[in-house]
Amino acid sequence: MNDNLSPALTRRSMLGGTLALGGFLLVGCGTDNSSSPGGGNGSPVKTLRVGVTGDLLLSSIQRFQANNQMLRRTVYDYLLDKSDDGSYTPSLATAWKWSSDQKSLVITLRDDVKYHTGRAFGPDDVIASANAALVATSGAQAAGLLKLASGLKKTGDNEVTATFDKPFPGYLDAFAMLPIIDSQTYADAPSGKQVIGTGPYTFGSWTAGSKYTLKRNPSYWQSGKPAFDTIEVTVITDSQAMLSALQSGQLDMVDGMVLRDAATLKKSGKFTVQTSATYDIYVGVNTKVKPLDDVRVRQAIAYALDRDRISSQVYSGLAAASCVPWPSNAPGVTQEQVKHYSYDLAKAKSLLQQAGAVGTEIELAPIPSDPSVVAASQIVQYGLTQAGFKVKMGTYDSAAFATHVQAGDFPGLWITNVALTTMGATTALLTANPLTSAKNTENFVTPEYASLVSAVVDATTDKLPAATAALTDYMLEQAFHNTLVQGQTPVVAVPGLSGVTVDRTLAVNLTNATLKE
Amino acid sequence: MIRYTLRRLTGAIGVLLIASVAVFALLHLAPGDPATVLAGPDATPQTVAAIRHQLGLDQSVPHQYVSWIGQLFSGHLGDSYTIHQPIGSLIAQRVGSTLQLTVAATVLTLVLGVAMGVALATSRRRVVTQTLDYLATLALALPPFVSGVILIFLFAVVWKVLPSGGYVALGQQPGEALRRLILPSIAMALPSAPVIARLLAAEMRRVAQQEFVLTAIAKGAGRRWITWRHIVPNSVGPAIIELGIRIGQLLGGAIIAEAIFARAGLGSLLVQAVESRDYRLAQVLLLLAISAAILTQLVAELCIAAIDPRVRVGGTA
Amino acid sequence: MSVIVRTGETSAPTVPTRRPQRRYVAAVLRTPRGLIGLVLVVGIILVAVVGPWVIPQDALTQGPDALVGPSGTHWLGTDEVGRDLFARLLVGTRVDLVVTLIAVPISGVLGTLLGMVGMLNRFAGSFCQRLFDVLLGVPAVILGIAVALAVSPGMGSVIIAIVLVTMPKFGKQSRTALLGQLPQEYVAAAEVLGYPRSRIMFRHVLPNILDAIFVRFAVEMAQAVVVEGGLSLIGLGIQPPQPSLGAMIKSGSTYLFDHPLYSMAPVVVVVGLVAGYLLLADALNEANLRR
Repeated sequence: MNDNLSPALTRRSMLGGTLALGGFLLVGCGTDNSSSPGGGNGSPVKTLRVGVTGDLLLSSIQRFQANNQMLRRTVYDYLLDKSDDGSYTPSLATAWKWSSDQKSLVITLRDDVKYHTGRAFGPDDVIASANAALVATSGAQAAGLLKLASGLKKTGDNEVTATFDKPFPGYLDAFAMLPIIDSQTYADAPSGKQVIGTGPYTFGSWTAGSKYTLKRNPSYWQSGKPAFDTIEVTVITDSQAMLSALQSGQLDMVDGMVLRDAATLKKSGKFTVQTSATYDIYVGVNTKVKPLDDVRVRQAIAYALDRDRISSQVYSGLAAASCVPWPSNAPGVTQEQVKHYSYDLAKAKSLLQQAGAVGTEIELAPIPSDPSVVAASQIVQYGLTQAGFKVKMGTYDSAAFATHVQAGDFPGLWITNVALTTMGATTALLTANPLTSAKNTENFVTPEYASLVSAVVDATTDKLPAATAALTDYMLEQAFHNTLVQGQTPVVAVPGLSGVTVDRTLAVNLTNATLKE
Repeated sequence: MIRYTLRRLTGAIGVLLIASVAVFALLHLAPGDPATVLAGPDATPQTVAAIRHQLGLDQSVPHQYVSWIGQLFSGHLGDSYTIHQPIGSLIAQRVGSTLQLTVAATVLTLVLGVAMGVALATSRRRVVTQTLDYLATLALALPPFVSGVILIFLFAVVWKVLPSGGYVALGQQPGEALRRLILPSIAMALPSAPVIARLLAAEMRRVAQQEFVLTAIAKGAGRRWITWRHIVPNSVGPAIIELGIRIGQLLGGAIIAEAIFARAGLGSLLVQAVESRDYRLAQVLLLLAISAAILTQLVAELCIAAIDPRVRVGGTA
Repeated sequence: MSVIVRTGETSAPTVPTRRPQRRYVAAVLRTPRGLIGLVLVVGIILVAVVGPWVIPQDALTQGPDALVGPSGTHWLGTDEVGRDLFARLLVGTRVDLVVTLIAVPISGVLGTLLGMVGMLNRFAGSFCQRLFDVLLGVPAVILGIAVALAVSPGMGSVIIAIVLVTMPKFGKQSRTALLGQLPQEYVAAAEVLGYPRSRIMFRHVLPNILDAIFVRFAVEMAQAVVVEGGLSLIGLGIQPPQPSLGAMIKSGSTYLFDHPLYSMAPVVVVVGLVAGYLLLADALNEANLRR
């Protein structure tokens, strides 16, 4: 068969080739680069290497969204922070006082803060930041709250006053989610030329889609902080690659890891997991599409959701099952509400029969950018099919999905999150497309809903629990917004890293963070 | 040959023009536009409309196409809609990673492929051919996203001798850059080398049957000489075409390899551009990818004409 | 009459004869390679077709026992939502077989013919080659995204995407092989005899380039499975809860370390299929050579 051809590769040449290949590999494995740069054992490390799943979106710095979570508390500061119990802690603002008629709010500011350009921070900058958020193109959710004030004026060297026609107790939430920008350089921010704030780190270099660096701000108003000289942030979109990078020692910290992977790492004992405030992951129902306008059909859907299995199989328990969109420790939320709908296929089937809708064809569309949601959609689809629906999976890419959320024209059901619920019911109800009462993605507009939402928005602190409870009961009964679990965005880190916190806007706060080898 | 090359190049421009229309049309037909992506899911219709107006997207589609083509011809690639930086500099930032991977993977594919192919065709020991066959089959059947994951697991996570990914410019730290290239180029070469090897071997076996080879043997030429001087050159045709295709695709951006090994190159930029409906960026990158493919194939055909004595460029077809 | 210039060394003229089908099959079965290849391919097809009806588990039932290892009830264990992996493997193989056995032959026929069309009409030939250049230049993943934007994702879009990705490869290959055949004496002989070009193309040139086409066919069957896997990676392949080999490899790779069977079982099937096709192609190749 091969008589005319002789072995063209002698044993010698094969050996030579193999040696060369081996040598190539060995040369490559030169210095072991898997440990982080810095001092020897126990000494503090000066460079922090962070992995994130999405690149910066510098045209929307003031917006509460996943892209800028590493930027909002490092390069920028807020006026104040909202803590878990609903109270506020000072940051750039030192004090705030409502007038007795609740129609004006005086905010006192620090006088020792400088922007990275050296310019002093003052009340005009607060007003400028608020105005920047109110511009139509900013998309900052805080605008939904800011615009409820009739005016915001400078009333002193370190003071601004907000005035209201109608009392709005939730106003301070706006400043608990608004990075204070520098009006003089803000126009250069989207391209990355000048990203200026007052925060503990300055904006270094940026290779779009790949990585960016933050450098220590030597004149930060909290003296002695921060601890790191440089923060290197690498963008890794593939969850498998992110996991490998952390496990192989190329990263010290990861923000936004898939929850199941985080749980696995936590169980291994080699990494720590820092939890964050929780938010709503839900199945939305477009009530304009028949027969989804029938509340019995919607309740059938609610009973067909195996929330416990989703929590354990998809999220390894890091996201707790819940029927309520607000965090389970929010004022007015009861355990009965959280567990309101059990996984009850018999009830679901009978409800469907009553509504005469057995065998209804519906489409289910998970948000494609969240692998956990895509996994959860399998369980949702299964439950719905068992209950008697015919479910077709809807596959949209991110852009198409966002279009549908904005327009409210999903052909059936969808699954995504409302991250804003971390701030509590009031803020979410005023700013999140799936929840606003005048128009929402589910097209659920009723006078009852509108009045219950207003009651929550206008409620003072003492009336808030009851108002929230009433609204939650109504939402549970109407089942147009079916929460599956309370998700979160944890920070996974090597054991030597301490002092990292995640605020209520899911922004990572590294001001007090240190890393020991 | 020069006339042929020129003819092909002018033909290529025609292709690119048609492709630009097709790409433009397809992207605009898809639901969503940069404004919806930039506005975010919580945006009000006013926000989306305001952003749309800011980007100039509320003009008619043909108008946008004409102004874009006009811009291109005057040498301006324009700015990316979502990243707000000039497209030229974005490409310059990412092209290094793609070029590195292309060169490394191609070299490895060539070396492995030719060695395996020649060995398959010429070795008289069944053990060798059988083993090579099975190895080739195994490598062929392993998609990069499986072999890549296994390689990372073994070399980066368990043994910790190589980094799990990332990209470093050759100019900055050559050692680091090479270390990060090893695993991805192996993952990319593994499925390609056996294809080259098989094409080469199949062709070599066929060519070896032909009379001119017997003639050469009768004339007293040594076997190794016959193999490398006569048979291999006549056999490289299909293999080189395939290699040309693979290089073209690598230049367009090895999307899956870039995702697994976290190398931000042109491929991931293209995916990002399509997903965020960044029309300008996506269009430029696609045209770039198509140009790269056309050019590499042209070069491949010229190479065949140079090596294979039977083929003349510009034949009847 | 056209004159074909022969330059350099030429090869011996090969005047092909028509071979009846029966001789092919017999020739294939005679070699050990052909036998193994046939057994692999036919075996896997049989198991995939018959299997799901025989085993008690089904591919869709979810349950509370996720990611458990092999047991009496679940021969390969379960996936992340409690579905039986063995059943999913069988059904997934079926789906992949259907997709590849439709898409790749279509690509092969279309591509080979379009690649040779330059023999009949020069302009059409150039046009086709340029079309192939465009299709090859666009990364497969992007083609997949483009197809999914136009046609909603599923079996149909996967088949179309595979055809778009695979057809140009056949086209380029057949054209190169054609260019290699044209200078040969038998073509000149046929032309002198006055045969029309189309007859030369189909009856004389085509059989001569078939061996390379067969090898290409086997390779592309393997590639088709990989393309399907790549599309599943970005969520535009076969839609869940339908299993497919590519999607299983992808989802299983996250659990490679604790539950390797999830990912490795489909890899074994893929390797078996690919090896089978390649061995078959080799046997056919040899049968071609032994006239």
